[in-house]
Amino acid sequence: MNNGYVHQKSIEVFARILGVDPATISVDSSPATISEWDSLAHVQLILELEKAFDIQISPDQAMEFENFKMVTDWISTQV
Amino acid sequence: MLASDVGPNLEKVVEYIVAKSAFQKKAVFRLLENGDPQYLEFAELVVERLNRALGNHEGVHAYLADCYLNYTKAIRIEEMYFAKENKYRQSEFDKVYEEIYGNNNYMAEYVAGLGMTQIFWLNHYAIFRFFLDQFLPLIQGARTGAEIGVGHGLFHSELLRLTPGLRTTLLDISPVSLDTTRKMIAAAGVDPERTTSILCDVQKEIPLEDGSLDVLLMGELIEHIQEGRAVMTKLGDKMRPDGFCFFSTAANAPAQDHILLFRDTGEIRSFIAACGWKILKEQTGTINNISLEKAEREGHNINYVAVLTKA
Repeated sequence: MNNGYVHQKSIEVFARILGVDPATISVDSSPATISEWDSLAHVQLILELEKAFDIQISPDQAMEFENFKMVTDWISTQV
Repeated sequence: MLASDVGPNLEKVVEYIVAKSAFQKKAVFRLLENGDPQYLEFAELVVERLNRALGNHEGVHAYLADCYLNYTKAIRIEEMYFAKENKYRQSEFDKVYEEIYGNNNYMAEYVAGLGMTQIFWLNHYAIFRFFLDQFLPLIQGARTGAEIGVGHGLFHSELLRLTPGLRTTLLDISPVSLDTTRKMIAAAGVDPERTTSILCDVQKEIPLEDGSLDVLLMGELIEHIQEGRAVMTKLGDKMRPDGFCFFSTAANAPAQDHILLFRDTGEIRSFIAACGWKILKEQTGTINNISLEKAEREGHNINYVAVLTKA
């Protein structure tokens, strides 16, 4: 599985859970740039990313993610 | 940019929080933008009182901010566990005691962080308003009271400040909670000698005379206790027939020290009745104002607060 696949699929998950246009999500996206990405949504994002990639993300790891790139970089090491 | 009516202590804490957490920055700004004057006055009072209770030193605002951020981070971790496993992570009180209540350094940060949730979590603020507006008017003239699980001491300091003539007993398993509560009472301008502190595990003994209490506070207590039903039942014996109990708990509310899981308000009401108590008045709340029905159906957080009397 390549990084492009992880990137694209993550965008789909983020857009669906946060209710935003996929075109607004990029490697620079973070809770500071997407108003819908709050701490409660973060929990939902983690759960949906686990399902989408069939991986386990520990709660401690999940709390380390500070932006979209950190999320996709970490997922790329797992799939 | 904060509104001009945000008090100086609150403003300092908020500055630290927004600098350290993008998540909390959004949440706190949303809250303060919509904050009515009564809320903002309350929030400043809480920070100012915690500040004084903690010694009013130079770094106290940053400390409170860090405690709050650590507390909320721990809650988010538990929420993820709950969402995956559909149960609380903790099931044994002894393990919680080892990790949290018996760890004085951790407890110091824990009670400070918990105290900050009274202002930054609207559900906790709503519970406090119920306490002020619905409970305290019922107990004017009360002489003897107690609180089980005193936490950060905010409720108890207001109880004593607004109920002259009341003398109370504080029971808690944590010396840090007992000490913080006495300091909060003093910080409220109330003589802490109106209270007696007892370090104890109410699951093993409740050192209060039967039929002695006009007032009992048990806010956010029962979900922390493994033997919840036995404790709640025994506490009923401590009340005078016309005494009032302030009771709050939560359903679907994972936290690092929550053991007793209620799934909905029906379970909470059944629990209260089975322990020999009667509900005089009650209030429920949810996160983000979703309907109670939806919260119960989908397993979201529900806060429950009530005034109880002996059945």
